[in-house]
Amino acid sequence: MEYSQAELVRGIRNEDSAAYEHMICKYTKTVFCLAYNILSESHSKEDIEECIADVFLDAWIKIAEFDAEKANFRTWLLMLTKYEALTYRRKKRLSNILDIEDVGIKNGVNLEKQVLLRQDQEQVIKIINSFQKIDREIFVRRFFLGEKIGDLAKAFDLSRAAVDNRLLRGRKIIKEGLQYE
Amino acid sequence: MNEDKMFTVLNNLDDDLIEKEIDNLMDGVECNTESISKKAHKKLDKYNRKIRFRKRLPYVAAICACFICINTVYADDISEAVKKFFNKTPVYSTMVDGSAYYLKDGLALDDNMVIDSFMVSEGRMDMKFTSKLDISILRDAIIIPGDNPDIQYVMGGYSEDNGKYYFSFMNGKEDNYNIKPCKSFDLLVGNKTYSISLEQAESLDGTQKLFASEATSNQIGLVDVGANSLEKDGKQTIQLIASFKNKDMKLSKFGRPVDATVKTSFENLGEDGIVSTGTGLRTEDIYATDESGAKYKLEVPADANAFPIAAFETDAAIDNKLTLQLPALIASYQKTVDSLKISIPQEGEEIINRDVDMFAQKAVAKSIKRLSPTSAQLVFQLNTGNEKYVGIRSFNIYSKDILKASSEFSGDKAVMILDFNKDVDEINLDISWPEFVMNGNWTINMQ
Repeated sequence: MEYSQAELVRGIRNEDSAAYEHMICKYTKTVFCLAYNILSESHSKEDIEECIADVFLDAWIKIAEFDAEKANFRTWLLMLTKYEALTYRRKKRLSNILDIEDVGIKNGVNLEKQVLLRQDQEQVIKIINSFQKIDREIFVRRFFLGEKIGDLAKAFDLSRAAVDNRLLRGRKIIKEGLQYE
Repeated sequence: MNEDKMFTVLNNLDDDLIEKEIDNLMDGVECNTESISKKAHKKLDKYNRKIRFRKRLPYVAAICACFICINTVYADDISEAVKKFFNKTPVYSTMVDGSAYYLKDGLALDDNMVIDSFMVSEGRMDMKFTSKLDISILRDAIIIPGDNPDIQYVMGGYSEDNGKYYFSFMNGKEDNYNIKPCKSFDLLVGNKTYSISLEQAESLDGTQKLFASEATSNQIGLVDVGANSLEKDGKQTIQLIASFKNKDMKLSKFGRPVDATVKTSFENLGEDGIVSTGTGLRTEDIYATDESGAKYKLEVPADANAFPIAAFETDAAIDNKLTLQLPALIASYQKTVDSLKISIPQEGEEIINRDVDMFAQKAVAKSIKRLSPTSAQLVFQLNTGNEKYVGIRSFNIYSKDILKASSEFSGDKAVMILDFNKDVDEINLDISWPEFVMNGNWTINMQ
């Protein structure tokens, strides 16, 4: 069965295990991508898989907190992934009494209801794909997966300013390409 | 276009467009979707099992609610892992769940009886005492809690060693271990009544230096392990903490078992009760290492009063930063897990192939073979579930039709010899209190 976002959310709320299965099938790669980026340096493949499985269970348990007005389901799932992955990372790093540093994730993105037409969406993707490989990856990880600029700087061995500049340049190109604003 | 707008734009892209980008990004990285799916389903199964359990036992939910209130105070600055230990209460050399009351010092009741130790917590009431009175008098002892005179706790089991007794009480009216913590009680023994007041034991909290174990490749989601460092005579005493996700899972002992084979037996003596025996819980020593590499053995205190032991003495000075290696622990699930109706063939062997869910691990009742008119051999295949780091150490069996049973657990197999009266060709077998070896291979870095 193919689910729309609303059907998927309703299915999970009704504790329909087929909806759980569908969520896993549809979003594993996306969730894996973010968890992998956060954990691959410090954790085994097994740990990353456990983390992802925890994210899906979290989504099942916390579905009442999902608000379609604030974010789409994928973004919400990525938020859960980020929290879970950081928890895994912190557990490994500190091992004991713990300060809760760096869970300073911004509470997602304040998503206004501003949906692009399909045609515009494809144009955005086309523009992003025209970026140099490293810029494209930074852009995708920042804006699709919501990774922190500091983490990206570390991952790509760049200064924070260099990452900022690359993101800024990308935004400008997209804006021009869309003639947005 | 500012950053927020870019997030807005890109987060509203259709899924198929994003999936392509993710595929590009993950080019060359293997994502085992099947393995992730299995793990996610397993976690959901466990979660659902837990929820069903809570629905059956509403009072458990009440306990959990209290726990959440306590946690809230520390929510901002203490990790989730450590918070799991706050519901644990050290009493004497052991640790129990929830609140507990105990006798701070030994108490002489009269010339005939001295209570050496006494503790009560949820589901548990233990007394160690010295007495010259005959066991026929002592075993009729009754305890009536000060806050509820309608309840009577009676002797549930005892051991005796040269005038020193260890009593375990149970709820006499309900015939189970529904025991509530109480701060005073009347002890009725040998036509005398003694009123006794207890001290409340302090639960672990954020003021203590609690350390959670590091993540390990041997992941066992059923338990969290940690430690607390204390001073005793200038040396370090280490309290090991095992916090189980399920309230019926209890610690039996810390450490890896020495015996690869476990033998148990029981005999139904009718009115004289049931006598049971079992291989002891011998475990290998546990060690901690300090920053210079010096190794310290965790020793059971000479004055240990209650079991299982959770507080260990070491020769390490209090300022030594220790790293503790805990290869395994033994725990039991204190419930009846299944009932099997088994037909015993008149002769030869019959295949059963019936799955038995033992909560932390699974097993299969494989076959039953008639050995004689009054005996049969029952074989189980063990460890058939997914928890690869959890092995079944043993479990109890009981049937009113069985007079005597002896079991041998070794590796992935358990063989039981059942003795019964002549004309039995079917038994209803209760399987309870499975005991597990959890090979977590935990490291607790106490720094």
